[in-house]
Amino acid sequence: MAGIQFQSIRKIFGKTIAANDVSLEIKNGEFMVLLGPSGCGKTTLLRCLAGLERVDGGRVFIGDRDVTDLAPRDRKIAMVFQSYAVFPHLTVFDNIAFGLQMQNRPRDEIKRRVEESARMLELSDYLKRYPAQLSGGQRQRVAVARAIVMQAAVLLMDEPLSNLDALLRLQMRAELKRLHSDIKATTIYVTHDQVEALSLGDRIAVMQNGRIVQCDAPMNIYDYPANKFVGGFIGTPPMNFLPGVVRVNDGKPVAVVGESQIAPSAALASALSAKNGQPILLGIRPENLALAPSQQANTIRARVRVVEPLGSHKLLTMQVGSEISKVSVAPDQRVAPDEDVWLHFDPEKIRWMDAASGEAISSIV
Amino acid sequence: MRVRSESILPYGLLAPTLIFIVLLIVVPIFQAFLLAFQTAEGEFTLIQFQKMLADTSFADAMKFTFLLLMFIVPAQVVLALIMALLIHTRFKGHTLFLYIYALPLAISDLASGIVWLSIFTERGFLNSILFQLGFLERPFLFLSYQNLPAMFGTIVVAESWRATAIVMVILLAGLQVIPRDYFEAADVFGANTLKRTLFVVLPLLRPSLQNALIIRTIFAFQTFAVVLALAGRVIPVLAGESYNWYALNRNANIAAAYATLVLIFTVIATVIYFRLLRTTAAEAGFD
Amino acid sequence: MNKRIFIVASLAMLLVIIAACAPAPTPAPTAAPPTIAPKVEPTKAPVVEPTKAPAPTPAPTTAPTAVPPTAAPQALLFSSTQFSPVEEQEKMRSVILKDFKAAKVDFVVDPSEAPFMDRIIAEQKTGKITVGVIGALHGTFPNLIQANALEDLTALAAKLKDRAIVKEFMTLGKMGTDKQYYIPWMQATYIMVYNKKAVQYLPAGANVDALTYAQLAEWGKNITAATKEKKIGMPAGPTGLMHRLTQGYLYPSYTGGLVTTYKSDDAVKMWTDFKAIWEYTNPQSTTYNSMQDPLLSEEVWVAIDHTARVVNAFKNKPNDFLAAPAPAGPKGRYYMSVLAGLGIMKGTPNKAGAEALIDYLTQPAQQAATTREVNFYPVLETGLPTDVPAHVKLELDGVVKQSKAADAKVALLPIGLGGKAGDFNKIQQDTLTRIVLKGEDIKKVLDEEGAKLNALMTELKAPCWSPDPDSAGKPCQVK
Repeated sequence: MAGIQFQSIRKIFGKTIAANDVSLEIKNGEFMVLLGPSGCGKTTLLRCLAGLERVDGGRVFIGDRDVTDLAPRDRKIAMVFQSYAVFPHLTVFDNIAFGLQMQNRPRDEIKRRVEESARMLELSDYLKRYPAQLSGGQRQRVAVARAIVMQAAVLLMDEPLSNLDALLRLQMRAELKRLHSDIKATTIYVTHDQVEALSLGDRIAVMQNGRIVQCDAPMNIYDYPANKFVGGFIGTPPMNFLPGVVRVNDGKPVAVVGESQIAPSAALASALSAKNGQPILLGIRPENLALAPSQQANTIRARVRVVEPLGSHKLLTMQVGSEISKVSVAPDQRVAPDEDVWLHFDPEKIRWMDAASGEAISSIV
Repeated sequence: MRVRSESILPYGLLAPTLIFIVLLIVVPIFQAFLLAFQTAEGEFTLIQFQKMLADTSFADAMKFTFLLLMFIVPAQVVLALIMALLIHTRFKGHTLFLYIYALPLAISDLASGIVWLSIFTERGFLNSILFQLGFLERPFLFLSYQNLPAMFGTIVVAESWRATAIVMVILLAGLQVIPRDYFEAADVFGANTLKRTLFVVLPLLRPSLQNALIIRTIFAFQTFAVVLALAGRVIPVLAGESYNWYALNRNANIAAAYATLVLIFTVIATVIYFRLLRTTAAEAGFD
Repeated sequence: MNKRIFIVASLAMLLVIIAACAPAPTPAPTAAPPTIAPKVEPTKAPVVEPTKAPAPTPAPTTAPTAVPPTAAPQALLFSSTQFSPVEEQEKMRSVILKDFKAAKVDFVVDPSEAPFMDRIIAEQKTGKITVGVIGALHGTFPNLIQANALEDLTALAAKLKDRAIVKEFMTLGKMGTDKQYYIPWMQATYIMVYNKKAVQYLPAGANVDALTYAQLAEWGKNITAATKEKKIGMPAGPTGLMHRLTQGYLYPSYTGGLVTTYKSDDAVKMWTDFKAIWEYTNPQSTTYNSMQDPLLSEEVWVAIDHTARVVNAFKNKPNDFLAAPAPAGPKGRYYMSVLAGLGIMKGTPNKAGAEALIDYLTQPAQQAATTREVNFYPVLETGLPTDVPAHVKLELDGVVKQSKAADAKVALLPIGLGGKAGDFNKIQQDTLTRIVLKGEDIKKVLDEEGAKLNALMTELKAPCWSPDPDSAGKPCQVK
């Protein structure tokens, strides 16, 4: 078992900087998710760790070994590929056994370990089949089995669920989580699906344009996005951002949004006081907005545009001034389209952001 | 109606090729068949084959055609595989190598025969270089009928140079079709270059290898211009005898008999390759 | 659906594969060829050739330029197997054909016989005739006759009577029939060419201009002893003319015949002697198609070949080489005269122009120009021209010495073989391969190949030609 360290990893493809001095430390046994939109550099970072790409700068450590210049086969890693890369000319057994055979392990050990992995992934009945005779989900399991059978210190997964249909994906997600809790290998998991990231990761590193913009536990990332990008990328529907202007009245800052005023939490008051007159963004998740019967503190006038009953909740599309906001309310909330309502902001849940940079304003200046 | 037009479409798309093949290939093959079984007066006969069998060069032509096959085909496939794998690593300047490797494709076989003749002949480039470097006291006769192995060797070298490129192109195309993930998976799971080649690349390359072997074997059966240039009548081959009978002796019937024989051998070889390298449905194809 | 597409596609693939193995395009079978055996049908007068010259045709004595000058010259395609070098083609166009005004001549050369014949056969079959005059070696004409591609030139021959064309050549042009198939155009022969460096190794008392085959062997032996290299060369490559040396030089010189004496004791002696020469012959000879290249590279010092195939040696290194007659055998110094003839394509659109061109090319001025410019020799009794370039002169010396030698005798090209000339040549090639290259027993090979020769001659019903004794119309047979 081993931790992983990326030190200032730089990787350039032509004019594109895929990894721009990325540093990241992953603890032994941790499940780290690299999350970001396509082209953000998350897969590149993973491939640099696997040795499938040579870095243009920086060092990669697995445990205390500097593996930067090692071939993939010498890095003691296992990997699940997005396309699975299950060898079509080998049976399921031989596919799972491939890595062990390359290590020239004794035959009975190979057999024992392959069967064990196959059992873990419910493949025992398919060992003699060829991949073409399996379903997509089964092939994906073979790819996972082939990786975990190695009992490698580091397990890499490159969007392993992206080729599965929604239901299978849900199922495999839970299985992967269970597997990780069983084998406890340090795992790096690349995905663009924020739900997978939230559900699987011990921590999530959100990437954008070759940089890690935030790396934290899933709920911290959800509740306290570091900037507008993270807030917008994570959560369905994403965080709402309402523009306003800071005004300090008698030393107390408020955000003026339209005709209303929203007050910050006490912790932020001093940081915002310095921004008198500056534009600001109020980031707030749909579930942290509520309908108020009348105008009160921290409410804004809004008009209901669309009502979508989604079973567990109702999703409302509201017009606030010229902005559109999503609001999640209880399923029994009585509300109709074109109704004018008051929206209440929970001050503790507002993420205040600088309108120009999109960066969150923290309580520590 | 809609279903009908859809089912006609693929045939419509194939039609130009089929018409081309029928007019320019099937019909001439049929005519060549006819020629082989006809007397000069157009009556059915087996006399052309009897004459072919009685031909002084026939036994030698058979012997040398198959000897050539046995040397050239394996040598070329191995060479081409190495070249294709090298190019496939995409090392710096690999496109330059690709062009150099593929260059012989652009040269007609007769021209390459003449080029190699000027290399191997007594006062040719090779002897001149060896002489200048002091390896030889006097020119070595590569092309002496008294030294058949040397003469045969020059043919193998010249033919390998000429036709390895086409095998390489086929194999390289095959390699490029294989998703890189397979190679990367092999790397990650601990295969070194040799093991990766043996256990992953070659099995996945099997369809291309099959094509390459078939095409190369057909070419080997057809080889004659290079042989003619380097060995004259001393090393006869079946295709060369067909050419000689047609072009020099002006006997199209015996030429056609030889051609028919070459055709039969080619078909047999193709069937054997299909059998030997057959991929089962389960193994076939990538995702 | 997919399966069906797959099947059709695989069928197409298979066809391509099968097609790929079909060798050189083979033409459709020739329709029953006309017999070219000398069937004399005296009762049937030629219909198309009235005994009197047609009115518009100028009198035979008039120059061809006498065709009405006002008429725009019609196009005339002159297809030739001769003059493959581009420079020679240019000489032909810009010098020799320059003064011919009766038609606009398009001179095209197809040096290899297969495409040349294929074009003519194709034109005859489709009836779309573009070729007018055909210029080819005597040996090509049987194939042209077999393709039924030639006009009867008997009338033209009569017109050219006072041209003093060598009589034997005119007879050859009849191809053993009573019709004139071609008018002799130009001739060449085979001579010996040697490098001056070789002269010092000549056997004692030998005269290089009157060598015997035994002396040639000795000469080669001396050279090999001195240089450790085998420096005699023979054109025994795939398209070399070695079989002509066998037919017109070795066999007649040793046996006084070719077919009748094919397996005689004299023939055995000939092959024994030739094997002795071959001992000192460069073993690469089996790759030599024309001897000028190995002579120039000095791979060989002494070679016998067609004049057109050694002339570059004199051209490129005039100070190094000399020409001499071919060696002599017990029965004399036989040499073969190679004849090129001019025929007219059957059904040509411009027959008058074609006849005018043949008339033009056989005039003394053009005959001399042919020697001067492209190194072929006249077919006229008047003999060889004198005002020729230096390299032609060097070669011409050997030609003259050969024809003027005291023991010189002429062997003719095979006659009456029709389309089977190739089969005939192959017997000589195979005989040489088996005896000389493979070292098979001479007697046995001659018996077996002689039997093939007999079968061929019987099939062709071809009578003997010189120097074999006249067989009185019966097929020539090996004795």
